[in-house]
Amino acid sequence: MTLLNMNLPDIADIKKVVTDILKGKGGLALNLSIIGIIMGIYALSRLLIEGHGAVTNTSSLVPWGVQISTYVYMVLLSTGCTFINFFGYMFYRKEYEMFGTRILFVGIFIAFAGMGALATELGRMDKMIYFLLSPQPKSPMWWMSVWYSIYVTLKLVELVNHKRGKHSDKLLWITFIVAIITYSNLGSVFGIVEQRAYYFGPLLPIYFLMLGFLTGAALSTIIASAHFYKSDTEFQNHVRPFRNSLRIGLGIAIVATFWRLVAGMYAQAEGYEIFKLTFMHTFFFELLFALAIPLVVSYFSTCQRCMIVICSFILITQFKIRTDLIVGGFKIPVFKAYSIPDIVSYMPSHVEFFVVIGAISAATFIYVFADKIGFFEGEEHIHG
Amino acid sequence: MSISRRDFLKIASAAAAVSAAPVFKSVSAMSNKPSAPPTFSPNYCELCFWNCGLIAKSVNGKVVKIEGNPLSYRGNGKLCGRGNAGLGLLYDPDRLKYPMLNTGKRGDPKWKRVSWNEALSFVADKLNGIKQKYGPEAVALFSHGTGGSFWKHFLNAYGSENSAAPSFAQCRGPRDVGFYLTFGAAPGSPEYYDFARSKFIVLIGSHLGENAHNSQVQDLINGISDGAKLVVLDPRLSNVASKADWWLPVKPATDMAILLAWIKIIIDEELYDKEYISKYAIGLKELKEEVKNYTPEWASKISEIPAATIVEIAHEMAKHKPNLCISGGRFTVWYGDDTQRSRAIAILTALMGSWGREGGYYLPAKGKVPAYPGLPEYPDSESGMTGDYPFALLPVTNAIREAVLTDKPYPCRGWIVYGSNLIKTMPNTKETIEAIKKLDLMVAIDVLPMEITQWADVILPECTYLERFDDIQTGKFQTFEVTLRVPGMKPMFESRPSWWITKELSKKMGLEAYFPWNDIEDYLKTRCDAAGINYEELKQKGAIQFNEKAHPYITAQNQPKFNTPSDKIELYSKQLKEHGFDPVPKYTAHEEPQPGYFRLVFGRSPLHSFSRTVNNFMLNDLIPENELWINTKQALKLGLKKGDYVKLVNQDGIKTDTKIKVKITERLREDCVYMYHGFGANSSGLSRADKRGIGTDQIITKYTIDPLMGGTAIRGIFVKIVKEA
Amino acid sequence: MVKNEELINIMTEDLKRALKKPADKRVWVMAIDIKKCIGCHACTTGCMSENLTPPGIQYRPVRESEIGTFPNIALKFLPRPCMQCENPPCVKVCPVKATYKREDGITIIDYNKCVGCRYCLVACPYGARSSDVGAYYTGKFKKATYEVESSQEYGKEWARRNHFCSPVGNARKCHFCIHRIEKGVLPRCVETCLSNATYFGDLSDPDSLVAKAVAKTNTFKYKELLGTKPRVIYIT
Ligand SMILES: Nc1nc2c(c(=O)[nH]1)N[C@H]1C(S)=C(S)[C@@H](COP(=O)(O)OP(=O)(O)OC[C@H]3O[C@@H](n4cnc5c(=O)[nH]c(N)nc54)[C@H](O)[C@@H]3O)O[C@H]1N2
Ligand SMILES: Nc1nc2c(c(=O)[nH]1)N[C@H]1C(S)=C(S)[C@@H](COP(=O)(O)OP(=O)(O)OC[C@H]3O[C@@H](n4cnc5c(=O)[nH]c(N)nc54)[C@H](O)[C@@H]3O)O[C@H]1N2
Ligand code: SF4
Ligand code: SF4
Ligand code: SF4
Ligand code: SF4
Ligand code: SF4
Ligand SMILES: [Mo]
Repeated sequence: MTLLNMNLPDIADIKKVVTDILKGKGGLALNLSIIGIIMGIYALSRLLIEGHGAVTNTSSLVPWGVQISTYVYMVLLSTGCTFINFFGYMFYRKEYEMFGTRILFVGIFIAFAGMGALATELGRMDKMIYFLLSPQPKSPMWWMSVWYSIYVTLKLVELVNHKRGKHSDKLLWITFIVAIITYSNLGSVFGIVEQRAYYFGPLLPIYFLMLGFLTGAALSTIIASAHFYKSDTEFQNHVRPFRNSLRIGLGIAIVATFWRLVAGMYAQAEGYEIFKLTFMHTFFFELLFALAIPLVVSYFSTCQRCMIVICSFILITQFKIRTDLIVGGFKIPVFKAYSIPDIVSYMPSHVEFFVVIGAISAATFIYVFADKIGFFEGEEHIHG
Repeated sequence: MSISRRDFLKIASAAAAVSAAPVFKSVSAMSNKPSAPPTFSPNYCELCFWNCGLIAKSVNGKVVKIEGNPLSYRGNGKLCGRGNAGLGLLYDPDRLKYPMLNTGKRGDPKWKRVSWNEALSFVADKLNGIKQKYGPEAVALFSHGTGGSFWKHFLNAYGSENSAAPSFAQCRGPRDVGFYLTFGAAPGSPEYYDFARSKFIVLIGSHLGENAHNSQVQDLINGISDGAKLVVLDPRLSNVASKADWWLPVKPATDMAILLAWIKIIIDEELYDKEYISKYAIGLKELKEEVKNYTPEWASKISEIPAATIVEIAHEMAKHKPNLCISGGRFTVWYGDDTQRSRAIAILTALMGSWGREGGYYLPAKGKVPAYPGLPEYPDSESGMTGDYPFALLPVTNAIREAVLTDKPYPCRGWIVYGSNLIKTMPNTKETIEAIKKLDLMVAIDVLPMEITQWADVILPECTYLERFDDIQTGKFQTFEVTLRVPGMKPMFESRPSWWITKELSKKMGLEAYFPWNDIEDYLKTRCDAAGINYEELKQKGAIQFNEKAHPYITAQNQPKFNTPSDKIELYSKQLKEHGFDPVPKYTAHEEPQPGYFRLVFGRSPLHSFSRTVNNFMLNDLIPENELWINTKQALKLGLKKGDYVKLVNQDGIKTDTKIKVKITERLREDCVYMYHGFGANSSGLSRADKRGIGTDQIITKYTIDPLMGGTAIRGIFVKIVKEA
Repeated sequence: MVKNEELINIMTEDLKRALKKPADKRVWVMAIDIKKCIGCHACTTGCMSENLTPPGIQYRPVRESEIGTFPNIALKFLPRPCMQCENPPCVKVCPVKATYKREDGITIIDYNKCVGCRYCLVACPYGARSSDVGAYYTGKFKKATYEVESSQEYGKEWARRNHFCSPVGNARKCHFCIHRIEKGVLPRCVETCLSNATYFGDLSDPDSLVAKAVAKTNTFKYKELLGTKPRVIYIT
């Protein structure tokens, strides 16, 4: 079917997939993501009905929890996808092209899902209109709303373009640059907070960017690897750009994490003890376990399934690390009285977890659904 | 008190009125509708016994805020950390709501909701039964709190004089008696400590600031910031000790040694107020002889305070005489020789000439509001039970408890417990429970399902102080103060004030002649009229002070009277000697903890009053449980970390059933552990407080009785720490 | 020296004088004499009851810290209202300008605008901000009257049960009791302080007690090096 010059799947295909789903024959991925979405809706309704106080474990001491880290993580993935998309087109156009629309698509909806997770963390979602009515240009968070709107719009334009069978390198460039700004802006949301040693510093936005590249690479590698290939050679050929990006991503993530750790360990100011407190964890878990091991493994095991496993591992560990980063900012309370502990601990409630699951499921559902109805078919060769 | 009093109503209503003008430029005030206009009623706080004046603001018939009444002598417009949280009691959903009969066992109750009529008929029948079988004196009242006066009146009308209060034998009795024996008067409550004008202040224990007795804390800080020097004797760096010029981390139970050494130094070096002593006191010679061996070096060895410090402070005290206050403290049932220790303080006070002097102990104002006129005489009755304690000023709670078990001096079979949580308040809970089990009637009048109510046959739910009138209250301080409690709202649920309960009960027992008033306001107005006080003014202001009745300091015209056998200050007490006691305080060594044991020291949380506030939702939110303070070195030795939960075992092998969190501190000596009293609730009805922390009562199985006045000394408890996951 | 019990009266007069000036000429400051503070927490609960704060939220907690080892040990109390920073990090980060400085220097939160993103909580160096997550002391369903009563903050009615004008979901903090001072009444914590350790008034008025109090003695500002320029001054 063609709509506004876009080449879209036929209604009949959509109907078929929907009836399949209703019959419970949607396949594992779809069924699971539907369950996840239901969990998300349940979480959202409890949040709205009972309020944050009753159902989340965030508090004045830990104002931001796993809902925010989900957001950070998902937009990180989105940015990563944009990077991969950019590098794919720039350096490996031949091998990459066939995945372009998919990566673009995932990048958009994962950002939407992330923003959904963010919205659930707001105490008063009903007042979001004030982002428009009462802007504060000094606030990185306000800029975040601006940049993400631009970013998502650009990506949507790109997607429409693709569906019209076009591809513009100019737009690719613009989106790439906006993605850098957007994501480093998100980094600055944390980086400007002088009081939170774990966040503070001009390097944080850069650190964010570097990790963004890694997770984007991991996700796109999974997407590319989950594809059907006639032979391993074909697979190796197509997955090369992704694997290379992944290795580069791991490499720079190791460097970035290492220097952040070193800088933090040397700092003497109040609050920096958090780096010492989390040293073992950062060193063994973040550096060795979550980054170095996958890097090494990626040289020895290159089969299709291996790639999916490695990348899933990276995605999961990075989610944990993102959460640790957010929550790490609150570990040492800025003021202690009454029963406020020396070190604050935080464990998300089940409702918070459900929000995470809901957001991930929503993104997954949309992608798998799009795939099933043939949204990405006939996109293998788009020329700019 | 020369300050220009603000017109509190004007101010209070200004603070309350909601402005129509929007503060915000941005968003319309679409839904910020002002509520109905507020009303204000004066009251006084009942979260402890200082009874600070307050003003309750009510909107739509509900109290929504309380603030200090600037006209109140005890509060000066301020409420303490607890008082400000009064609404946390008023609106506690756990409150007692209806009269209830226990259809199960005492201590294992099954509650049946009944009407007031049924509940009071039950009580009346039982009381009549006891009167017939044992005589009216077999009924005792334990009361702590303002409404208790109606119960005391009721009990007297019924024919018993056994109205006891834990504030005597479990609290300040020894101090009162020690001063009474010396000066013929007790230091009062609020005490006559003239801290605000002191040049030198000595606190022995007395952890003011944590002990949040409002105006006393204010006076103390006034004095210190006016330059008064401060000495604090305390094994723990209390809040106030941290303000002291000299903190003496005295070894617990040895204060007496230091006091005696001070007396000796002052007499030996003739540093006392010679004119004052020769004019007002007797027994200096005998005193000198008795204390001759108490050298500073001797005291130093015992108390672990350097002799030089002891001497230095003695000299400093003398330098500032007579404008110094050596405080008699308040909670004084410590080691069993407490009346004598208080006597030592009183003697020192006399030597310094500071009783009746500026900055010392002021002389209380005179004044009186006559009783309700024309009431019938109380029936003759046996005198109240004071045990074998010749100097008890009031019936003694523990003597009554003993009487239940021994039938001596006569049987006791009925208890009316008003506003006192005896289970936690009296030492050795087992004994209390044994006594309760033997009773024919046990009535609890309370506001919350506290431990004591679980042992009652019938619970009479009183409404809280913000919902009731109470009797007129008078206070003799540097001014004569008359205060009134005016309800800010109707009683919630079916709770009722004591004046109503006693009046209704009297009708059922044929005692209505003792309650002839139509209602409480009729009663109050009649009393005010009799005293020449304008009731309407009192009802509006809440507190009226009569300064003309005050003559706080000794002058040529204002000579003190000492109500002692000799009409003089008795440094040496003949009457003590006649009763076989030491006429001058002597040092007695007290038991020491065995190795591995710590002395249990306890005190007050600034945010709680005993057990009565542990369930208060505002206070519980800040301090939900008590902690076990332990010195860092000892904690290290025992491998304890901050936040660990432990249990305690006392010297008799009794283990606490609840756990307590460890607090590691440098503020405490190594030979003791410290905790707040009042926690470790054991009543499932207290939803916030139940089982949180440890109650000192769980381990205070042993106590020593002060033979002079029956006080139960409870600081001889030694505990071992046991780790529990 | 001026007798402590008169301090409240003097400061009330100071306050009334300051209110006669245009708002932008008033420099509200709070001075807390930590020599006098006895750690009674009356200010904490006074504020809680004044502003009907929900569980876990105190606008003015009192920190206790011990320095040294037994027996050479000092104990310090630090009551902490909002510092009303002249250069407030919380204002800059608020994406919707819900928190801003008034012309008299008090940083306030517009409950009607605040989206509850809690960025200001993250940014405030003093932990002076809390998030009202809609919790109740007395449980979810049987809320006591106290819990649903309107708070009078900012001179308005904020009923907790009314979603559209309630602070639930918002950031909350000390506001120097604007609703009181604008009526010529001192902040609640100042009035109820047992030690009279808290002074309040217009620093630009040299005759005011607070100006005299901070001029005479050693003072410090909390975390001053951050450049926040607090308007709460501690006297030592
Ligand atoms: N916040 C609050 N204030 C209260 C009350 C309350 O419940 N809460 N209750 C009120 C009542 S009724 C009373 S009676 C008073 C009680 O309060 P106080 O009369 O002040 O009680 P103390 O026992 O004198 O003081 C307790 C202090 O004594 C120290 N201490 C323990 N053993 C010894 C010792 O052997 N020698 C010396 N020198 N010090 C020792 C402890 O370390 C502790 O710091 O508080 C009143 N004020
Ligand atoms: N182990 C140990 N024992 C002690 C002490 C200690 O420090 N440690 N301190 C001693 C001292 S100093 C004292 S003064 C006593 C205090 O002894 P109590 O006065 O017995 O102490 P509270 O725990 O406050 O109990 C008060 C009771 O009154 C109820 N109540 C509160 N308000 C009202 C009201 O308006 N009306 C009625 N009818 N009831 C009300 C409460 O719910 C509670 O049950 O305890 C003494 N006992
Ligand atoms: S001292 Fe505190 S608790 Fe006691 S009566 Fe006064 S305000 Fe109430
Ligand atoms: S103390 Fe915190 S909340 Fe207050 S003005 Fe400063 S930054 Fe803002
Ligand atoms: S929580 Fe409210 S006041 Fe704070 S930054 Fe967010 S919108 Fe602004
Ligand atoms: S000024 Fe008002 S809001 Fe601020 S701490 Fe004091 S009482 Fe609370
Ligand atoms: S009320 Fe005053 S003395 Fe008490 S803690 Fe607060 S500032 Fe300190
Ligand atoms: Mo007491």
